Amino acid sequence: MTSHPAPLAMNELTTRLTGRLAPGRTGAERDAGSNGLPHAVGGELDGATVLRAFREAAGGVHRMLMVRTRNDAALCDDLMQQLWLAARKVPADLTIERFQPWLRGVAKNLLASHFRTASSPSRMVTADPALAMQIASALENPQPGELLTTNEAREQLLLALTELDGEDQELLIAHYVHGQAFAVLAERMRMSERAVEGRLYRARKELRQTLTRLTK
Amino acid sequence: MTSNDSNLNNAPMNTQPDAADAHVHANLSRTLPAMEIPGSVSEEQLDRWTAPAAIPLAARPVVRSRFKRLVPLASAAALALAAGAAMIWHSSASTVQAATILRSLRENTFSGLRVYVSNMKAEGIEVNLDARMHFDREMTAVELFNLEGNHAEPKLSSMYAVATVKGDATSQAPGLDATAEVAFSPEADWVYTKINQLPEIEELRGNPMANFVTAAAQRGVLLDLGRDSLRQGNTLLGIPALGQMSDDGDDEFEPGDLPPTIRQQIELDIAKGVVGADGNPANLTAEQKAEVERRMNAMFAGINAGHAEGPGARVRPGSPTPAAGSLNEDQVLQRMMPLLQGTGGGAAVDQFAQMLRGDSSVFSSVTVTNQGNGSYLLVSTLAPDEQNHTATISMSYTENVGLQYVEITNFSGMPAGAKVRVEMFSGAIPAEMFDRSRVITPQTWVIDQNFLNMFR
Repeated sequence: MTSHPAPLAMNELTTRLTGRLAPGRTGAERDAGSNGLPHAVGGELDGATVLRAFREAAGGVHRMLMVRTRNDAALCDDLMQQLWLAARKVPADLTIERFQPWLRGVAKNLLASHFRTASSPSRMVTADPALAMQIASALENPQPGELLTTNEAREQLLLALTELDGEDQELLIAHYVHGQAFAVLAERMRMSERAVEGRLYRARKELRQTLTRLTK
Repeated sequence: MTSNDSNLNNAPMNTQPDAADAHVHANLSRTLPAMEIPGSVSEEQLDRWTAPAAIPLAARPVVRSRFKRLVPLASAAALALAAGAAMIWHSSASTVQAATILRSLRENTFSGLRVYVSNMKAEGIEVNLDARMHFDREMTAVELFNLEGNHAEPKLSSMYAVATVKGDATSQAPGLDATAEVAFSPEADWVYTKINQLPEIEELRGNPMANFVTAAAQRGVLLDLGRDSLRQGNTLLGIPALGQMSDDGDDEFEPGDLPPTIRQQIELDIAKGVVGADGNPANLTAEQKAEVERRMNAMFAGINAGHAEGPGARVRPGSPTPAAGSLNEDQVLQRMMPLLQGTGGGAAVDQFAQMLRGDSSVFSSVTVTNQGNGSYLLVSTLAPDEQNHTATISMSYTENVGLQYVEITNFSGMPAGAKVRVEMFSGAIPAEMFDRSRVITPQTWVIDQNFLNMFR
């Protein structure tokens, strides 16, 4: 039984994929960051920038937590509140480019801390590097066999998918889960279909590489 | 260069994707649609998560749980009244009938107690409470008291309580309107507090910490002890879950009864008092340490003295008996034992009825009303004590069902609607009581161990 979430709202997807955190910034300025996020002045993040960056990253991080907790919504809700508290104390030397990876690291630490004291630690989904490697190979195989249909493999695939940054996650989900065509995505993202295709290529490549890098 | 043009740079250098990628594309197209992937987050979620800042709650002393005391006292009152009522309304009937009712009372089982406190007011502070306590098994009142000496003490399996506190203009917290909820169950243990209206206290104005804490409490604060705290002994802010409170079984409130972190905080405060606010408590001399210990012990001695003089003071076996003619709790229970154990026969029944009727130091009046359908209501008025305090105790009993409730009203010095009511029930506490989502709003602060770990 599969239940798909509602498709992303147009402006939400557009904002996430174009990374326009600071309205009015030029294209050159946006390109300055590898993930499209703006550099904060002097390498320090002010409160408004952190808030915008957190809201940008929240969807992907929340999905990562949901997958790792087997959809424990209440727990993830708590963790996201704690994550925001941690984000408010962002290290002084953190740049906006490093914000999302840093936030993900904090989220994983919070989750690990929770499960260290939880009554049901077995509910936490952990990476299986060997299986993840097999999945990476299977994905590149024209005849992957039954591996990709097993629950264990799908769990690892989800782990890898939610390890991607928010933009790649959203794009892969929009295209492969919600079936949104290049033309639709191009219109929403305000870019050419070829550019969308390029981004999807990069996202798939990142997913494969992430599978080979999954560690416990 | 436009932003759209710049995105072309994201395309692969080779515009024909490699063969492996084509297979990845095909396999993802087959696999991902069949997977259950968590959905996007809503604006409401984002708003809730990014609500303004946390509260560095300071550990504060807590009063030892009186739960273990409350249950037997409430039940003792219920039992005494039930037994007494049985004697009285069947006094004209045969003792055989009375014994039958007593046996039914002895055999009726329940698994929980519900306590209401309504409109109780002291020094301008009005308290309302609805507390439900559920035990790990069905039991009789005899088992609850272990009156036969061979029953294991029942364990609290879950508890839910909601209380409101209001202060009027004459109180020390005029205008205060606060709510607190406590939920302990294997699934969720939490404590929720919310100040609906702040008290108008001059001393708090301009105090940054007070403003910070009260501002947070106005939003609502939920302290989460984690799941199954009753059994696992989880703590938050050094405060253990209800069932894990340190209680060595005696009536003395001792430093050892406190959670270590709270005890240390109190010691630190006392130490500062000894060496002065500018002194360093860590550098106490031996004499100063002795002085800290002496003050600590004096503080607890004072608490215990006040408690022993309070209305809830328990008279222990061997202790001096109360005023001539009155019976202490142990003596009442002692006289009830033959009845509850069914060993006293008619003589014990008559003796107990006589005790309730004849001991004018306990009850000034006792009446029984037959309400039909096998239900009876006993209303008794407590004789005034030395401070002229009195109250009315009502008890409802239904044949073949058992004790329904015990209610205490007409307290001296209390508002007309003041009431304490104890009900016995079977079955679990409704699950929705433990659902914390009832109290969580986008403004609510949820504080749990993970949150606190960030400050360590």
